Amino acid sequence: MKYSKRAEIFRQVKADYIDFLSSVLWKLTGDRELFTEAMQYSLLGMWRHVEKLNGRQAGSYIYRIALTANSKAWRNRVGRNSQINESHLGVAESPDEKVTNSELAAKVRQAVAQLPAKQSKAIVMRYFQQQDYSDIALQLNCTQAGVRSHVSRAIATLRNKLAGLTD
Amino acid sequence: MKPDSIEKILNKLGTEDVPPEARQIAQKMSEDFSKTLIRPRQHIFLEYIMKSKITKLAAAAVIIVAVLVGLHFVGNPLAPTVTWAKVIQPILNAQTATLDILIGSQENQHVIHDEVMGSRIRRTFSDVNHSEIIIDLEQQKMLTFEHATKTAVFIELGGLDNFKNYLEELQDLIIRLQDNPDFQVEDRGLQKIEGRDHIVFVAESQKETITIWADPETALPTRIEQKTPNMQIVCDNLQFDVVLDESRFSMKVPDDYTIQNAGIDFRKNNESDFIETLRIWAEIIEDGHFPDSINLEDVVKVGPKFEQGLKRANLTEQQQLKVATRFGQGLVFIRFFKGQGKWHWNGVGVELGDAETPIFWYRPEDSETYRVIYGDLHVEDVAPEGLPEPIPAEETAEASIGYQKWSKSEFVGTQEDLWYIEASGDIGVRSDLTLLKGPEGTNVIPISLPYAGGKLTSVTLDKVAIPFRQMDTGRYELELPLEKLFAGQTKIRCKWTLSLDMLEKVDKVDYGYRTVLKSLIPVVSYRLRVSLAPDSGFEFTKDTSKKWIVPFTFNAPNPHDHFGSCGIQIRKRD
Repeated sequence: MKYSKRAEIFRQVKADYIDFLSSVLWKLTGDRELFTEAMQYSLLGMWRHVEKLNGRQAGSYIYRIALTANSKAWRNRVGRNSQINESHLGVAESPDEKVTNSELAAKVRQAVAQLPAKQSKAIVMRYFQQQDYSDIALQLNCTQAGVRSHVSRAIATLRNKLAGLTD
Repeated sequence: MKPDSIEKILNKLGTEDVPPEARQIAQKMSEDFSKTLIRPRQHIFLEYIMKSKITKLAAAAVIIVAVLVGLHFVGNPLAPTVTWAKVIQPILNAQTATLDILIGSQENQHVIHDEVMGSRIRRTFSDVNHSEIIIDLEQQKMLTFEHATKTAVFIELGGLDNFKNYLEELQDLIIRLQDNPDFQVEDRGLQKIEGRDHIVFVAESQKETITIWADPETALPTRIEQKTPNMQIVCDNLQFDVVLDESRFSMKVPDDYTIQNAGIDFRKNNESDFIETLRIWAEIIEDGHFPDSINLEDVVKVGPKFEQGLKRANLTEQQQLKVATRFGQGLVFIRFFKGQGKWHWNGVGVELGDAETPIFWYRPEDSETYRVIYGDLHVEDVAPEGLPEPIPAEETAEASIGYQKWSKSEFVGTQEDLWYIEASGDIGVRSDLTLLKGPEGTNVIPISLPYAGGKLTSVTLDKVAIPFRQMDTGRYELELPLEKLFAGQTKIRCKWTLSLDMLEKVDKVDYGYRTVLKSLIPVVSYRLRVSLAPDSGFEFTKDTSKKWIVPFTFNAPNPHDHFGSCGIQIRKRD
């Protein structure tokens, strides 16, 4: 594809999805620094895969790009081993101590960034965009039961990861 | 945590308002990013800036590239000389040597000058002033001095496999080459270079051709030319046992010099780094398109253009060095290529971002499929028949177990045909035979073309012409040098022609032609590939974008020479 054509598609897709990206990435990161990083990765991802964004599947690819960007940004912060960086998030050293709401929210966001693609997509659509199951099923090209399964497995994974943080 | 806590938190996060600041940041970043679209080379820097880990950087970009290029020859520049015992003897005994290395064609003016003392090398470059490199193979270290900036850069060479000292490497090569039955030396007699007589020897193996010029009186080699699938190297002005001061090889850094690390890790030899190098090459050096070739000689020449590109990009010095390091790191992949066969470049004129055009492909070790990199730098695994161009027979051929005598009266082998259909309706055929077995006491092998009207035009055994004579229409006899067969040279290439008119035209829409399937001799495997000349006026019916197809393959434990017939589904282009 010619460079000029790629640039044209990119500009159009960006105009169509910039609000969506702002909203989703903010909710996924909740932090200016992370948000900036994830947004940068998203723009780069959009440019690199711009050929795929020129059609009906664009929305689906944008989701993928945004979630990948979010994971990358979190990974940069906490390291490749995906271990929760206690010091960075300021979690209390003693397991008995309660973490604050904002710290807990950061923990949850970080754990969402580590979910498998379909599960994180389902969580974003269900909770961050407040979509109902039938709409999500349509977008994920699966049944409503399938969506419920993704969501419940994601919740179970998050619960396991975050077990013991708070009551 | 209570069972419903996670869902509550998620719900809460989902219903939080997005602050106006976030939207402003997104809008600003988006606008900034769009501005860079005018100059595609900018994107790579955005990505670098995003990477938080800062590599320790040292010398200027050109030096880093030059070091990497030079490394290719470490331990090896004199290696080709070893094919002739008389010629190599002085080399083995030499304590010191000096030589010039030229990469690529003779027109290339970029010369690497080496002074060698045991396991240490002092290296300078004709087009890089005020810089020198000291390599200590025993210590596995390299030190680059950039005198203009009073900088010294250390590079660890520990990541490179089989790193030996200079003379050990030569001795190993002598043994390896002498033990290789595939390696053969041809005496070309006396030739003149710059008015002086030289004895010339040409030695060939499957993967390389080496030409050695030596002084006829002293038997000292003065020039060595080495051709491998992906490059050509010339070692010129060779001199042995010259007096060299040991201080020239010192790795002591003057007190007022800054010492840094290069940031290139030779243990990293992977495809993703190479892809980044391609991206930089297209974005920075070539302004949005890929280079015509990426051979070693191109890397040698790229220095000044790279510097200009970096300046054009308005980068800080730190950013320039980052880019240069990334560029150099990716070159490790092709300079120390570990795939099977050779790599293939097809990036001429391709724009960065072109997702349709393959620019590079190679076969990883122990892989049945090829890795194909496209113009937008995405990578796909592709079966050999799906490649943009046919792979040369010598690259796909299995290792032969060698030629053996047997009690039967026929020769047996394997055959791979490439039929090339031209605009005139002529078909040029290249039949690659690998002989496996033959009768005792004869060196005459009868072959029979599938069509009586076909005409044999040439026969070579490992690139050397062998005699043949016509016995009848479409039937020939070849005279084989048995000693070469038993020495392991078993690949015979027969070139012959036929006409499309000889094939059966099939009276069905879009069907094309039908050909008989017959091998030249009885074979245990046969493969037919068909390719169309770009101006042939034909296209393949099933997939018009394909440049070649494999309409038939055969494999069996017992030899056959007739396989029936098959269709060649081509049609005239509209």
